[in-house]
Amino acid sequence: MTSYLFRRILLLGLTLLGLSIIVFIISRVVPADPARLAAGPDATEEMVQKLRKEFGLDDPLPIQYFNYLGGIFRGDLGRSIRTRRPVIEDLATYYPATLELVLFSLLLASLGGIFIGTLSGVYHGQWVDQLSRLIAVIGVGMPDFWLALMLQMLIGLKWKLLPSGGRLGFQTPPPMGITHFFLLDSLLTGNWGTFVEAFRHILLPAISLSFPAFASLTRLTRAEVLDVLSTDFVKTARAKGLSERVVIWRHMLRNALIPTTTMIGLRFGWMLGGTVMVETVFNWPGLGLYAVQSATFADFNAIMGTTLLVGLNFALANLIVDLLYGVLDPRIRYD
Amino acid sequence: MFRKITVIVLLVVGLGAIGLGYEVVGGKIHIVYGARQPVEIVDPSIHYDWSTRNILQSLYDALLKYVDNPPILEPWLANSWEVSPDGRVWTFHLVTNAKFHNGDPVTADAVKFSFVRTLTLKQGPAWMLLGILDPEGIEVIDPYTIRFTLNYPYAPFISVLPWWYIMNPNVVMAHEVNGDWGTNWLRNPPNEAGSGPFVVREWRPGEYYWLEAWDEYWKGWPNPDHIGGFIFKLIREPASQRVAILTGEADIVEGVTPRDFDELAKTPGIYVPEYPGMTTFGIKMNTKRGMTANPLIRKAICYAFDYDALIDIYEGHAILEDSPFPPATKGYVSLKEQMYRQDLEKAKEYMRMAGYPEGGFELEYVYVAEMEEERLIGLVLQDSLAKLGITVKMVPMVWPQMVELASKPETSPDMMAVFTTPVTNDPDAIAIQYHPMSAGRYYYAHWYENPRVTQLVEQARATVDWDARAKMYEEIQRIILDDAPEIFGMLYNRRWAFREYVQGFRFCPLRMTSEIDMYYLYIDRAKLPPKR
Repeated sequence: MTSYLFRRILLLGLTLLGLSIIVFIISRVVPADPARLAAGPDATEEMVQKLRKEFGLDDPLPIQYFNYLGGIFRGDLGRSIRTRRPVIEDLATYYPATLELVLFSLLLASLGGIFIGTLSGVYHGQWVDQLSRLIAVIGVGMPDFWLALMLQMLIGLKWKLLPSGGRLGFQTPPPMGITHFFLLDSLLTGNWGTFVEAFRHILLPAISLSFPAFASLTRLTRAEVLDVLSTDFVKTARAKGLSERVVIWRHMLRNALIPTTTMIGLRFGWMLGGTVMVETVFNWPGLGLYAVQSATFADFNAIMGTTLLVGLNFALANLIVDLLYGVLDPRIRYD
Repeated sequence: MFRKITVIVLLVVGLGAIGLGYEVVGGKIHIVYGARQPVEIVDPSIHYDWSTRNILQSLYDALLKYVDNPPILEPWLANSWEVSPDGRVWTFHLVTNAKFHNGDPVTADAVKFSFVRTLTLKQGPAWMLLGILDPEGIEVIDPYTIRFTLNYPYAPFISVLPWWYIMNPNVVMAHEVNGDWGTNWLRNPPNEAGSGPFVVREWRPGEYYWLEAWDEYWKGWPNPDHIGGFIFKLIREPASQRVAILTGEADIVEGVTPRDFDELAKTPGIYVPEYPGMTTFGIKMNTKRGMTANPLIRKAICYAFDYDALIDIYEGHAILEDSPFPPATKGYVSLKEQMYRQDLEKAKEYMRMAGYPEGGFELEYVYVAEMEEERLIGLVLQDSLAKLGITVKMVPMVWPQMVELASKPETSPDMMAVFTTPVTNDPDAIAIQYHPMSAGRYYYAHWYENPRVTQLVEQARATVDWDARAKMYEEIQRIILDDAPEIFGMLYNRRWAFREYVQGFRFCPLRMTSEIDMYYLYIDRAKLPPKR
């Protein structure tokens, strides 16, 4: 197990190194001059040159890359030419909001998807199954930004049941920053009012973001449950006289969940890289918008920093999923 | 268990009704401005764009201020000034009651510090005076008198002063680290060092920026019912902005579609101020390379283009240009009679004179990929030039790429769609766009060069006598029009949607895109609905 972990972490480092090279090359190949853009439309050549020098953009490309790489080992991801702040500060500002949204959405999608998928599989062919299949088809086919707009306009703006955007109301101060997840921090500090406010704010974006994942998890869980239902060990469990609830939730589901766990891990990565539309609609101050603005501004350091962070998350999620296999199925060995 | 969770979720959802957008703090109304563009750097020496300046204008004051339409320069921190006969030495007398938010007086030392800081950092508005004014040319005569000695006579000097905001040197330099002039501190609100009518109440990056009125503002407030503050809330989707103003979640919005503005204008409780701006749309043609280097071809293109379609694309909310200068510019001359309008016979005649009676070549039209209006204009261009046998290749691009291409004559596209907003109403702000000094900037994508225009632009900016300048600018306008370095297009109207209880809006075309001077806004309490 230890050597497996060591190998995976080494591989993770190499993956990130490869990613950094690819993103570095792609971002530099695009014919755009970030210094000219950051200096402003009327800037003189002298002003553009000054910014270019200040941000090391006048160095040869290999030097720029090695300077960047050296910075990473010192915990310095460079400065954003658009915001003029260290990228690490920008990421610290925007990343927690995105991570909180993604984790909460993943929780909704996983709980909902596994629960409905299991019911659908167990009550195969009945109305629960038909309804869940319909929802799943809609969920897979519906673009998240469209759902987000509809939820915002109807529930947020027209009926005013939930806030239409942001993380907290205007006059609600954020909770003390322990994890920078508003839901968790408000709970940890016993600030119930803020918790309710944060919960109400995250619901609509989380529903929008989680719906496609919920749909695919429902479908996958249903298929796996149907598969496992006909296996010998389920028949044996039933023959032993175990209650249906125990058969389903303790024996059958545990085996059906291995592909679902993989899907949850993958979905985490996809969600993290795909929050921009939902963040745009709900004015969620997260990483997705930061990434898009950085890309349109050819803000090299910010693009690199965001990509590496999302890449790291993706790789970590995969590692955690691989380790979870062993928990779900003790027959799986890592050596 | 499932039922319990459902009940808890429903309870939480049901808690706290959501009311109108405005907030009430201490009896004052704080309005919500729904806007699309975030604000990243709030340092007057470093950066400006429309959303940033909406905030800067609220936190800081300048020596003078642009107000109204047509724009006038209103004395602000400076209440009078003199200029030497040769236009080199400018002396300003400051008001004596102005103070910064921390109570420090606004003195000539602060003015000198602010100018030196911006000139030294060479960012943001520095381009307006770099090479014209050096730090050594700024002299404090007494605590309330400051003198600027320019490197050479520069008549438009006064016109750029409203964009040079005055910072408190004591506050900024108290946060200086390693000679950074306090930039690392000042760029991050709530940090600020201004004397303006508002102070920062709360700053949530990427979400909203809340500024509240400063009761002790040295200049006082124009209306006793002035807004208590404003929340600059990011609402990025046009459709969301529309619903936000309709439902009252926002009190002002700026970014809905032209059709939605029309609909909002007819909605009770909402009004839509509409004014012609100073932003011109033109299709710049590369005068240095390819087929468009031939002035006869350019003229043929100008005569072939369907100008009325531009107005249709903006559904009537635009006017056609009738001079290279927008009408609100000083020295603007209407050249209606000489202006290019669609005339296919003339266009074909120019094609014959150019030696291409049947056309038979292709031109690229480069436009911003996500701008629907520019795409539609491209289709009109395609259709218009097809009648001359010219094929137009539509090339959508992201803006950074376009800026980079336009920075060199070898790469600048045959035709490039460009919106340009001048920073002042001094004619130099437009004329300079046709001078080689603008090389490398996006609006110089035409790489136009006419020795007579170059000479006149230089001469006019060094002349103090307005009548003499006006004559030169008239000649400049005529020559540029005749040389046809671009298809002179249109000026679209600027529009906002306001809830009817928000009054006092004063439009000034020199404010950028959707910028609003919040100082003049007040609440008509008779029209204010109760907050739920």
